[in-house]
Formats: sequence, C-alpha cells, structure tokens
Amino acid sequence: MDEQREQISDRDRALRRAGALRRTLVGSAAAGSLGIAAVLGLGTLGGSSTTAQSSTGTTSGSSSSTSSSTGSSSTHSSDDGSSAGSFSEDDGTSDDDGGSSSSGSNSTSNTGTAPSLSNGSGSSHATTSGS
Amino acid sequence: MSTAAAEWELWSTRARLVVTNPSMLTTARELVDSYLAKVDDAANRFRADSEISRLTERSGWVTLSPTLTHLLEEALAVARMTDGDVDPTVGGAVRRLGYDRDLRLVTEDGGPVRAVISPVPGYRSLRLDGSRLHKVAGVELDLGATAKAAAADGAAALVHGALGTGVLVSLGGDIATAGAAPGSGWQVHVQDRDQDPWTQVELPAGSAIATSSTVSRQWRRGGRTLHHVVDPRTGQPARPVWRSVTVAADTCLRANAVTTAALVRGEPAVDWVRGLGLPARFLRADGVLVHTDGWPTGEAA
Repeated sequence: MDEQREQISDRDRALRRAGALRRTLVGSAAAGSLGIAAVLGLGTLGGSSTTAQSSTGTTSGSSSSTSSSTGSSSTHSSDDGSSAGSFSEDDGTSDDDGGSSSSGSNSTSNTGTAPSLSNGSGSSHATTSGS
Repeated sequence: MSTAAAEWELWSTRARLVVTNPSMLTTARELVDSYLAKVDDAANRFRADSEISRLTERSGWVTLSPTLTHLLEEALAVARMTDGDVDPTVGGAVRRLGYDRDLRLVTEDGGPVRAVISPVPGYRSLRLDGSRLHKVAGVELDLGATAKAAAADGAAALVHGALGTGVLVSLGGDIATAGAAPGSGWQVHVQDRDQDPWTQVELPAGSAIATSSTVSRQWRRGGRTLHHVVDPRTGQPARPVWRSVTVAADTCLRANAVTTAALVRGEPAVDWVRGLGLPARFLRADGVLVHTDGWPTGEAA
C-alpha cells in the first residue's frame, strides 16, 4: 500500500515538473530567454553528454528503478529525475536561466564512448534509415 | 517492462517516441512537441520567418537566440570534428541544387541546375562568441546535417530529465535514448530503403544510432538525380560511393556527424571510422556490406 502510494506520488511529482517545464518552453514570457541547452543542461559535442549521463544514471532519491538490457545496470531516480538537467523542483525552470546556452563549442576529435551493440531480436522499437 | 509509443509526421519524415513508462507517453509527447517547435522556429530554413532564414542577409555581428546558439555551436563542433566535411555553410549550395523547400514540395524534375563546382564559404568564415555570431551577408546556414540529431538527443534528455522514464526518440531515423532501456534492450531495425538488406541490433541504454543515405531525400533536376548530402569542397552532392552508412555512438549528434562525413569521404571513410572505434555498417552502392569492429554479425539477407 505504501509502495503504491509512493509510486503515485512519484508520478504526480514528475507530471507537475513536466507541466512546469512545458509552460516554460512554450508559454511564459521567459521562454524566449531560455535556451534549450540551458534548460537541458546539455553538453556540447566534445563535452559531457547529457545522454551519456543518463546512461550511467545517478540516484539521488529514495525511490529508484533499475533495469538491465545488456548485462549492465542503468539506474534512474524517479523522484527528481535530475540526471539530465538542472531542473528546479519548485518551478520547473533551469538553474541557469539564460545567457549563453552551453559551455561553448569544442575543438575536438573526441567521439565519445563506443556503445556495445549486439544482435537484436523480437519486435523493434524503431527503425534507423537515411534522412 | 512494457513500452508505449507515438509516431507522427515531422520535417518530411517520421518522428517516433517510445517510453518505458506508458503512463508518461502523453506528457512526454507534449514535451517533445514543445521542444521541437523551438528547434523549428530557430533552424527551419524552409520557413521565411525562422531565425536562420532571417539571418541570411545579415552581416557583421548578430545576436542569436539561445536555441540557435546551441544548435550552431553543435554544428561548428561537428565541422571541426570532421575537418569540414560536415559544414553548416552549405545552405546556398543546397538551395542552388534545387532543395529550397520542404522535400515534399520539391518537384519531380524542376528543370536543370547549373553544376557549378565551387566550395561553400566554410565554417571558418563564421565566428561565434557566446550568443553573438559574426557572418558575411549572403552566407546561408543549413543545420540540416546536425540539428535533427541534436534535437533527438535533446528531446530524449528532456523527457528522461523531466519524467524519469526511459525514452527513445527517433527523428527520421536519427535515434537517441536516455534512461533505462526496456527489458529486451532498445531493438532497432536497421534498413534504409525497402529493397536494401536489413538487420536488427540491440542498442544499450543511453546510446544512439544514426543512418545517412545518398538514396533517401533525392530529387531530380534536368534529368539528373541529386541528393541532399553536399560535399562542402565542391558544393555538389557527394559521390554516391555508399548507399547508406549507419553508426552507433554515445550521442545521436556524434553518430550522425560520422555517418554524414562518411558519405562525403567515400571509400576512405571505413578506415577513419575504424580509427574512431565506433560500430558502423556501410552499404556500398553495389550492395556490398562493410562492417567495422563492434558491429554485430548475423545480418539478414
């Protein structure tokens, strides 16, 4: 029962945060001054990668979920979801509320960490094709 | 772990959103729509009112929106990484080749175009200082080679960051993921055209995959078949050594940078990608498949 209540509470918090963030993106007067990168806390090509951060995950809350697809565990927090950005729990806005959008472009030959692919099976979630 | 998905038309292609928490799908879609609308406002060169279109005749120092600043930073980083093989100043060349509006509106054969071999202005002609860009009037930016991939990364990060759910975002086949993967991993079908050989790979959580092609996004001018991947050194479509190239990387931006540059580089691209250590699949124009280390074998016929 407690577990169920906790899950509902987590979901409510996530939805409130998403609503606030969406309003920030599309509706508020501040939207024009909020860069996507600032909102997301995105790194640039040669810098840290938000997606990569998400893959290793950070757990900062008491309620977390873990799944494994390739033998390694990927954990994310379900009560603050903050591993990919710098969202405020209160108002959904970024800690960095404007200015330059990211840490600057990088001269780099860094191609990041190569993912370990394996043969797929079962129904596919998506298709990669040229565009 | 069950998943839920939404799919819709976007930028002459298909967008697909998959979440590992089905109850989050509607909110996730709203977030992605909001985010992509900002990207479109900033970087859609087919809209006269977009920020990038309004930049064309500007010269000197121009202050960019945070969104366009970010997208241009990424485009310039890709240009440096690929030694200029993927260059954001190809806009004029692409327009002169006839790709001057949404692909659905580019007519089947709109008459000949002059095949002028001329390098594009080049990314080194641009100076970006924070949100201020210095450019020369007439230099036309085209972020088509990078913005979609960057947007896939951004949308996936946004959804996972806000909602905590595992997520896959595919924008025309540029695929980014964030957060946990489904129990079976992210299953990705790899195939460009219907007649091409295909395979399926399992993509680890938090990684990305992209495909670039010389046979998708084609059009005809004066009886000549053209495609959208322009060699910045000639201002003409890259020689179609490869039908398609697929690469997996930790971000979609990186994966797409490598696939696009590989089409421009032709045969030498294989050694280059091997040197980068990235799993890749090359489909040559004659139908031969070439893989780098790390690409799983077991290709379907």
